[in-house]
Amino acid sequence: MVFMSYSDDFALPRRDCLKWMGAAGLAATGISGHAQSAWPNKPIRWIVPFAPGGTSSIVARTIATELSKQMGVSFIIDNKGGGGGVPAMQEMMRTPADGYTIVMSHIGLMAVNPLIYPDSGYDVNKDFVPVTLLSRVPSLFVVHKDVPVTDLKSLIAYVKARPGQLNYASAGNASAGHLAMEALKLATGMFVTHIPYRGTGPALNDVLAGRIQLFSAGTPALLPHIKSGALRCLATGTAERIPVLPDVPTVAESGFKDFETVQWYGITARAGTPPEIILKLQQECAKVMKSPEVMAKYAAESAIPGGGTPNEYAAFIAKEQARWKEVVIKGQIKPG
Amino acid sequence: MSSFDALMGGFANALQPVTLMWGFVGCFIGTLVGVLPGIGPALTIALLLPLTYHVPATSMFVMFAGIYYGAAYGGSTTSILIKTPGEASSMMTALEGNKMARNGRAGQALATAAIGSFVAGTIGTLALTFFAPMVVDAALAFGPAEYFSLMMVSVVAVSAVLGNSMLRGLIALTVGALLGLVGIDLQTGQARFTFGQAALLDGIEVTVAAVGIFAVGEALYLAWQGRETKTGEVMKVSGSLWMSKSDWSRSWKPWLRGAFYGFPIGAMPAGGAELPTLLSYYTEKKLSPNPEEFGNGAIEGVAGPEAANNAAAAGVLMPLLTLGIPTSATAAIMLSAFEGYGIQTGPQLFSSQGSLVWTLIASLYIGNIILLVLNLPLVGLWVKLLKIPPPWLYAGIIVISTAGVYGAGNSVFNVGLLFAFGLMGYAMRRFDFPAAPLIVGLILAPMAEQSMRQALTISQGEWSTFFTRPLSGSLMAVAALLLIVPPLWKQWRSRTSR
Repeated sequence: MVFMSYSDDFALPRRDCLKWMGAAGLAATGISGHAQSAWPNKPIRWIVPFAPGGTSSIVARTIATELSKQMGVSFIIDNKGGGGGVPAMQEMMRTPADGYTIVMSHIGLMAVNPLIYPDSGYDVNKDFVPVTLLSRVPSLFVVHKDVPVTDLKSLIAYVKARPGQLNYASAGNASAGHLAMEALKLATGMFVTHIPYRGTGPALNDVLAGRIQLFSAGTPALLPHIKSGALRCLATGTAERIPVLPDVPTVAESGFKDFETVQWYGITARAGTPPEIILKLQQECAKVMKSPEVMAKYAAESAIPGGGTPNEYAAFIAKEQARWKEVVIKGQIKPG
Repeated sequence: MSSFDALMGGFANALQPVTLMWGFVGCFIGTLVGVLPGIGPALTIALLLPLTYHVPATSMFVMFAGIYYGAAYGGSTTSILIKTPGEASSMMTALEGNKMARNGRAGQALATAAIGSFVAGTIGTLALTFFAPMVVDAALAFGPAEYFSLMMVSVVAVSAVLGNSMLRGLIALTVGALLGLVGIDLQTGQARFTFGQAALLDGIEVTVAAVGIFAVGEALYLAWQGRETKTGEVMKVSGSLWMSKSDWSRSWKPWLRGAFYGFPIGAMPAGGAELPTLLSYYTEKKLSPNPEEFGNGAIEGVAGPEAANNAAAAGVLMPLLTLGIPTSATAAIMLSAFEGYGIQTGPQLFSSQGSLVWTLIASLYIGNIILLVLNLPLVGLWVKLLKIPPPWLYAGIIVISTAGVYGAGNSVFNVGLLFAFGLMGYAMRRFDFPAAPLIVGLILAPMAEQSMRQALTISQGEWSTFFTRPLSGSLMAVAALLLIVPPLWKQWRSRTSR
């Protein structure tokens, strides 16, 4: 393409472009696992289970650029969106366990899909191994400014006085916001009707217009509207208060112990990948977390950096799987 | 007028020779990649985004505006010349513009599309400059009930593309609507008609269907025709390439009306660019003194929808800049581009980061002008494409369509789907079913279903919500009038003329 000849110092987009033009780049990654001792000695394909352009892809791209610089091989971002991430994982299943193909794992992929897509053809715990947690994004619980409540307690009282009349919006069935709100309903015993939208944007629109009263999403989408006063943040789903909203209590502080909902992203590899490769990749990721570019990106979205060991990530995933199993079953959550 | 002064400041920032050079690069790349079917502006910008981080902010904005409008415009070229819509919103252009090209008027079709895009893009950017807060309030007033009523107006507007036989047209529409229901039901999470295919969970991509039915179907039809009669259609290019006086006078009103549809609907979070092009086409057909020309190459049918398409592209920026809400894939990618430059979109944007934003808006004007300057001379070049013998041209179309569809989603499944739709398009062409209603059904059905059910959940099951909400009720009334009045009017006229 035109932009290929146009400059030479953008290893990543050029690779993307190659792949995009005819999968030339991809053919190279699936050959064999011989050269394990010298890992990595060829480009690493990083499957991201989202369409290009979303916040998570941007985070992946930033980290990939830094990893490429540090390790001297290209990390090629391969966006494989849709289907709740199932097609991305099925694609992973077709690649050898040699550490040259990794996938960006997240709450939906690891903790929710196993429950709602039983026929996906893989087992996230048996066929995949965790590498490291990359980031946690706080989820917030907000109401439209005209809803006369100031904290979680008054919200619950308000909802209980108006049974079945209040609604909450989400970015879709089984989206992080849907799960977070169902978890809150479960913890507090209040009932509000779920109205799913196609993406955060349309959902946010109806919340801003006041047609829908409640909403839960990550910090990047909601912060500007909380600051402008259009939405009121009642509580954060994090374990501790977040620096950008120091006056907002956590759900746990508001009287619901152990409540925690965050959106998280990490790296996962095929089961059978040599442990030394996993460890090396994790250590490189931990180093990346300290690079100024990644730190700036994280700060802008008030994301909490990861970089911990594979075992820590495994324990984290196990905890999340247990947490969401209850929510998915009791909240009768289905894909979408 | 502080907006005006601020805008002039923005122009001062953006009008530097180096910046303009980037603008040309952006328009060129945008148009080129926009020409590939299946690859819309979203993917183009996503791919070019990392590259833009290496140029200064103002240059990046101008380049970016060029890519944005260029990619939105690029689709019209292939739609007109080879009936291959780059994205769903170019469908009307493919329908009418390609007929013009077959009548030897490809030059005029390309010109009216380019100038119409420029006019509408400018109107859209002007509206963005001066009316942003008002339009945002209006867009916020559009909830699920209002969207559903707007869909009802659109369903009536489909009558403009039903073709000669209403029955065949309605069959195509229904098949399209059924195909539109494939995938996970948004409200309940139930998978419908997916046959266990994970690739179908998100539904059928409109672009794949449109490219398959229009481009691949057309190529197959041509191949069949060549075999049957030994006379493939050879497209001719005759006469002047430039628009005549009557072309101008037939184009300017559709441009303005198209912009009037495109901008507000584009500004709505769930509006998109497809509805305004359909509504514009319908309006032009109804207002034309010669409605029988529509479907056979009426210039109004290119001018209006193409203007609507580009005005919608400007409209999309509205909720993005003022509310920080990305309403399309393209907008979501742009949002991350803005964030890369430290622009926090949202309610405080204009007050907190004024100069950068005004530079961006000035860049949009400049990008629009560069696009016109770049594209009008290219009309002659593009038209030469039609001199390629049809077998080669159509073989090329199939190659480009396949590569484009594969590239858009890295999905082999979608390539298979493309050819399935190609066969379907061939059969429809062969047995004289119109293709446009099918694609419209595919677009409208899921949107209408979703907004209807959202509205009903909000109203707790009260159907009256569609009629008692003022905006929604008005739209329903418009739909009803459009359905009832024209036949009555026709009857009345035939009676009085007797």
